[in-house]
Amino acid sequence: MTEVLRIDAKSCTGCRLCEIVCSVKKTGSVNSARSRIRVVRLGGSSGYLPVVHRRDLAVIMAGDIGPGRATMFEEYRRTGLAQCDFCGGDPACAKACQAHALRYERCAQEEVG
Amino acid sequence: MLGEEDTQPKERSREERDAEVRCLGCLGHFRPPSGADHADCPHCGASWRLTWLDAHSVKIRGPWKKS
Amino acid sequence: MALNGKLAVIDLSDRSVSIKEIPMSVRKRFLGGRGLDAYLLYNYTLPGSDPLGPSNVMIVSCGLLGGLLASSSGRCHIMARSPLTGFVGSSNIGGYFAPELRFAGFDHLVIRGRAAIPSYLWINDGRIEIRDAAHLWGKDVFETQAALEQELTDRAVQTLCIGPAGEKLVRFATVMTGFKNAAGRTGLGAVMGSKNLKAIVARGSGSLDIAHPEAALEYNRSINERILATKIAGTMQKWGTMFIYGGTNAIGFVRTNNFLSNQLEDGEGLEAENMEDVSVGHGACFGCQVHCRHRYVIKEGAYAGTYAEGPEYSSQGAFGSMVGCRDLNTVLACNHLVNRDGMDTLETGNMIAWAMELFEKGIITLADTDGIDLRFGNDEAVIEMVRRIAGRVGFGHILAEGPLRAAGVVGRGSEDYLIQIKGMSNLHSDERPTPALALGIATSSRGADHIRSRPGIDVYNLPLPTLERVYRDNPAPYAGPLVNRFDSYEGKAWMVLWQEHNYMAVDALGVCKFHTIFMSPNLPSFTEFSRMVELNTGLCLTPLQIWDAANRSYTLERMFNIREGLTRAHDMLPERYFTVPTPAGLPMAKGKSIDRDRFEGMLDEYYGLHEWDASGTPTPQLLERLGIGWEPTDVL
Repeated sequence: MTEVLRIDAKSCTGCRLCEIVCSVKKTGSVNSARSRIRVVRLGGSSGYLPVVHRRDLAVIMAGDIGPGRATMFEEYRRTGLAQCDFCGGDPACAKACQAHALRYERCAQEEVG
Repeated sequence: MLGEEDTQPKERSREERDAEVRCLGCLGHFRPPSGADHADCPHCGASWRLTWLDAHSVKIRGPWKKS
Repeated sequence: MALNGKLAVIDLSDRSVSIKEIPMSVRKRFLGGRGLDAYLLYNYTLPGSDPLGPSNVMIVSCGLLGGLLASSSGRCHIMARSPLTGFVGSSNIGGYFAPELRFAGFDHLVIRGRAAIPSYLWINDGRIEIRDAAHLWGKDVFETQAALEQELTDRAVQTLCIGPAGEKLVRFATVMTGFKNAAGRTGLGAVMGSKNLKAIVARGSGSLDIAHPEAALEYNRSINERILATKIAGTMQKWGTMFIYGGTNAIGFVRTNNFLSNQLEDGEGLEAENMEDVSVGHGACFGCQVHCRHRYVIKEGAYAGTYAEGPEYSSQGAFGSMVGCRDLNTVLACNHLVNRDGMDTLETGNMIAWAMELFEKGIITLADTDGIDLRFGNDEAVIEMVRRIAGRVGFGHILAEGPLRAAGVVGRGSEDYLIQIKGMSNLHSDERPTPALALGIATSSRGADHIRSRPGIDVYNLPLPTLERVYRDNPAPYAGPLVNRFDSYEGKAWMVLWQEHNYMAVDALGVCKFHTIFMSPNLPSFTEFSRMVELNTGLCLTPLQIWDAANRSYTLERMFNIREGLTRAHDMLPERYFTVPTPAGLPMAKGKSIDRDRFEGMLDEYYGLHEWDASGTPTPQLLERLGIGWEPTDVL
């Protein structure tokens, strides 16, 4: 078993609380640019896409973001100023997200792949 | 809306409150059968259409018109 | 710290920008947002300034808690002298603009003068540029925002803008951000249009330092859990404010066919649950876990396939019950149109509903309406009238002037059919069965309005201990009666005054009214605000100090209105509230009207509690205690 951050983009409401709590947790201030996670507004009915800045993609489960968005996810993932460390195993973003767009959970090694 | 919201926070648990509605006619609380699309108020007999936020949380949608 | 945002005074006439500090002493006295805006409006506006002239001042702000760890801290406030009422123009708007303004280094903007050519403001990390917007003039709200994102090559910019209605000076034009967030009331979009100001765009990379980060994170989490534990939040998450309609219409609280009824018969088609057919999800404002905004795609009619957001309860009334329409598609289409063109949904619906009652009564005819059949329930006519008002076409040009001016043009006794106070039309609520709510709309500082002082929880007939917990000595002392019957006149003046202070505090802190005591007695208010302020900013303000700050700002709004000619006569309900009983609804709502003598008594009590004299003027003792005076000051 391993811990993963599972992203459900369809449930994201675009509130950016994940960005806020992340930057406060990591820097003591609100600053989206210094957050390890960002919410990309896709526009119109396409909704929102939370993107985590982390090199180890294996633990970011964002399989349901939709086919055309994988490239965008990759592009934004690489633009982060700082890397996500899952807050040492208790990620502030997932704890704050009541829309259940972000879940930190255990899953089988095979699923991580 | 009216009367369904947290009217007796100290007396009722969240579970009870979510499962109950408050009759818009007599303001009495009652618990409709799970999943029912309408129910009669046991206090005054008024009939109400119901809407379920989820399996456990119900609110009044509007009057039930008896045919 | 978080509180180093500046005040920028921007003169569009001479293209000057002056940047000033906001002293901590001023913040303690007026907080921020609407609270400090009231101070700035009073001091920067000359009495009698033409609301659509260069001397009017438009103020844009974030709250004291804007962008910080407080529930839904993205509220932006806008103020000016209203072109609709001539009194305080004031409107609060959600979305993401206010935090971005703060990230860019500014908490308050004072905008005066008039640009020689269409312009927009580009506010980016401490710099403010006045830029050419000729290429944007004529574009709708959505096109404008998209064009600015493209021009500035940044999809993360946040934009406040006007649509064609604001450019054409429709007196109830809105200032918009995103698809549906509207500074909707009092015509601030027309003020912006009169200044040739198409948009304000903000982008910032500044940090807002939190005074006690760990404690603020934990407290914010606990507040969010508390908010989400209420049934109202769960309901709002699923249905938005549209859920209110089912209950209020069932009881008979919903103004129908302008004012001919208080209940829309066979109005099930407007119920929130019908949104399931068109919804593509929900949206939220900055930092908000309630996400009450519907995101939908119109399925039928001329706008089929169009993506839009909303509608709110107000639009169910504006383009549903008030105009006698039962088709949700009409509400969805009109909601899209008013957002696209930038007009207040409530005022637009009210103007059409008023015209429809005149038409049905034969006071106006097809000759007045350009041949449009304005009978109640004519969906196509309603949609067409929305378009004509936005474009100031034909009869729409008259309606675009707002209630009092339109009635002045139409004449023939048409003023008697307006449901307006101080020149602004009301929500589609019918307050004849609810004296407390009636007092609230009568005394609201910006005209008939439900979110300035409405004790929404009064209609629940809550247990007395709950009312005691909310309204007694919380935090200001109150020794008078509290009565848990919504048909009572007793104790209601205090409830209205308490909510007035609470909503002013909310607007000054820059958080959302749905997260305070408005529709639930179990949500945060002064005690929690005090803690939020301390943990986020380090500023120690007791609940009573926040109450006093709210009182100070509300009193300044009153003084501004008095300076512009307000008298006791303006704190009055439409005549039909007293003379025509409600014809429909459940027994608690049917056959009700407001008792004139008891209303006047309630008004006296309200003035007394405010320490205003019998004419509604703040007493010298009150002003001395609050440390404010009639003479404008120029501290900032």
